Amino acid sequence: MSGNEEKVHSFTYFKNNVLPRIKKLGYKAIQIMGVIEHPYYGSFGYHCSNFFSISSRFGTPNDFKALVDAAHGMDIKIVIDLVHSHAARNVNEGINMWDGTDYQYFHGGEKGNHPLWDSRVFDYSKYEVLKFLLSNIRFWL
Amino acid sequence: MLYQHHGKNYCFTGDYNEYFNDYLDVDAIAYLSIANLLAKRINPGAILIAEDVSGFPGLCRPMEEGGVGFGFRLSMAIPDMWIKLLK
Repeated sequence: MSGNEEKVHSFTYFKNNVLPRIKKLGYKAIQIMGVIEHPYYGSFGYHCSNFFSISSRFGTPNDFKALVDAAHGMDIKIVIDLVHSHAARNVNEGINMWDGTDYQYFHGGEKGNHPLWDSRVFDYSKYEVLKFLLSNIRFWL
Repeated sequence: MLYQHHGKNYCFTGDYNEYFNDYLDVDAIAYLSIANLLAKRINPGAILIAEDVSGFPGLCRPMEEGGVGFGFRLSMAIPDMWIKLLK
């Protein structure tokens, strides 16, 4: 989250200090990046590890809900970046190699590696992948 | 995620043959269509934006027309071009 100082700001800081300014400027919608948990800050929220959790460096789930409620109270719509095109390759924190294989949620072998983004590529032909991602949409909405 | 080549070393000029060929990830297209249907069912007012560089035809057309069902497209190629220009 952005703020005045050169540091990682929080959902709460954004809600209290930035949101009123956005409202004052007349904006009707904002897109918040990196809402989903991602271990690597430099990925800008694109290397997601835990699709059902909030990016903990910005605050708690309730902090985020309070931000969304505050925005809605100002008649500002919230758009988040739901990254379902690929996932972080982190094994300890993410869903990569969760069951010990490289093909549980992703394509096995080289096809499962994104050539540009250093991440894992979902296999959308798998029933469990569809269940996982669709329930994730339901979760966030 | 639309293409198995992921856009790497691939150029889109607008010719349909560049989009609809064996590189297309049909499962991904099917997933996105279902995802948009579901999102609209949960919240009919949901704003659904596709981030797409390639300009995939029909991405923002309704499913009944054979589209993928997004409402908007964030055409990343244009901001990328701005960054290039400014640099």
